[in-house]
Amino acid sequence: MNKSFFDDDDEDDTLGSPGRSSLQADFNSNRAASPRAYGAGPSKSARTSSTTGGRQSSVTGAQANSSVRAYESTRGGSPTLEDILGEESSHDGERNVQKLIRAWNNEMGAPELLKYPKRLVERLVKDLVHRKALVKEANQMVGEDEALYLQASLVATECMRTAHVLKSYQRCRIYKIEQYADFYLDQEDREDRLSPDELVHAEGYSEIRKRYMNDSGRDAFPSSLLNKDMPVLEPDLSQAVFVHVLRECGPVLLPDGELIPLAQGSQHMLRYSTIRTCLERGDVELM
Amino acid sequence: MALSHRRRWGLTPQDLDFANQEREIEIVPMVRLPLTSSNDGPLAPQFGPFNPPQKAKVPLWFALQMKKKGKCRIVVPGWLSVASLEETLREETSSDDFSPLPRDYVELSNTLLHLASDDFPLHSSSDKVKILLKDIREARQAKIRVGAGALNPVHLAMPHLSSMEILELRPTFSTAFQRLRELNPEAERHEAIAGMWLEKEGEARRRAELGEFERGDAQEGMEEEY
Repeated sequence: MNKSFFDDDDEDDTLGSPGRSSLQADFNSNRAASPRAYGAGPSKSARTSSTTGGRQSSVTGAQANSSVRAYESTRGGSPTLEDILGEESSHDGERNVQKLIRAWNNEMGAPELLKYPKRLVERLVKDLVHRKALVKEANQMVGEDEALYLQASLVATECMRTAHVLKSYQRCRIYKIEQYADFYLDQEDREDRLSPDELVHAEGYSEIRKRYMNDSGRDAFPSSLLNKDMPVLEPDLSQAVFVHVLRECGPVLLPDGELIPLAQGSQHMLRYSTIRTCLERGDVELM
Repeated sequence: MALSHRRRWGLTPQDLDFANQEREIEIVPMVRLPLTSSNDGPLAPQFGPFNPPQKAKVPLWFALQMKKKGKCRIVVPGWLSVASLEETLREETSSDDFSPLPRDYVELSNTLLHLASDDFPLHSSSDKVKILLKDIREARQAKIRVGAGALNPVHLAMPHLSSMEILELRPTFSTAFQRLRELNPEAERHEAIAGMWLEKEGEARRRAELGEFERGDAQEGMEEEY
């Protein structure tokens, strides 16, 4: 039985039905023999590489008995631009989900809207869509293989966790945008702070609110009041936050004039304004 | 509206549990499993090939999934043994400081006691661990209540508190902080300094180091006159 799923070369779909004739991203070295067993190994790899424009496929890796991976893409084979630049590959031992969880915790703790981690979210969504498609494929194959079934369920769990964090994170941000929509729209860094969708939502929300205020009775105000601009509510930056220091941060100035150092691993309750810059740098995280 | 009313105060214990499930824990797998890559691709830390009876380090959610299917055994961490917890309890009751328990000890111990109670060794059974943990929690809560007296509208250090304990005290302490801020007799001075810190950080730091922000003797002298 053909156990080829977790196949990552989307471009290989040109070969026809996914998972059957496209490359086998086999995981364990025992299976390395199986592509050959189907009698089409080398020729298939030649075919796949030609249709994928010369990119390496994992069949090469599996047949060569190298450390095979369940997740196959150009990233495993020929270096892409991203690999060369080392941009996306800087993981430093931490998964993207953990970074997003930290961003979510920070967002829940902070009184103002924080910068939108565009690349992180895009990356996560891309990986998520990808993995979900693979898991769906895997579920369709009712195989006797327990190991692959287990792997599929584990990958599905990881996908669900990522989806949950993404949704909670977005919910929190939408709530904060709706609290002070006009203020965020007036800032110069609104392109950084808000994603394009959030920007649209903020503008629409602000518009609706203004119209509601006008229709509710502002047109009945005396003209002297109407001529003045409405003051824009600002988020209160002096609220209490609970910080956990990840990296040693220079001394911060407390509002009573004292300078305190932030030792690594320590926890404090402070005003948000005190640690705002440290948070932007990523030296502290909120709880 | 996007956020439920409970969440407006901040994270919930369930959120903490969820986040904690990313932490690494040791397991003894009972089935062979080849290398599985995580969602981030082959460059991220992967779920390494499992060859029983070798131990492996995996995220907690991974371990719990496998445990539910009966495919692994979880290795209880060292600090969660009866001997170690008795030592911690002794420390807690004898000194005023908090003992250095891991930050996630509440979430992790609850999860393990709930889902992996059969993985606790016989000499350090889950019942005894539960009792000891309860005592430790109570001792720490008592100290937290004492620490509430140290609240001021500016800063509070909380060494060695666990994340769940901080979550429990968050609504009370942050409301108290807010009230103290509103009732603060030195509010203007504090606002001025905080404003300067936000805008011109370098200059504020320099002036603070020179001691310009400390209440001068002249001012204190004036107050004594009254």
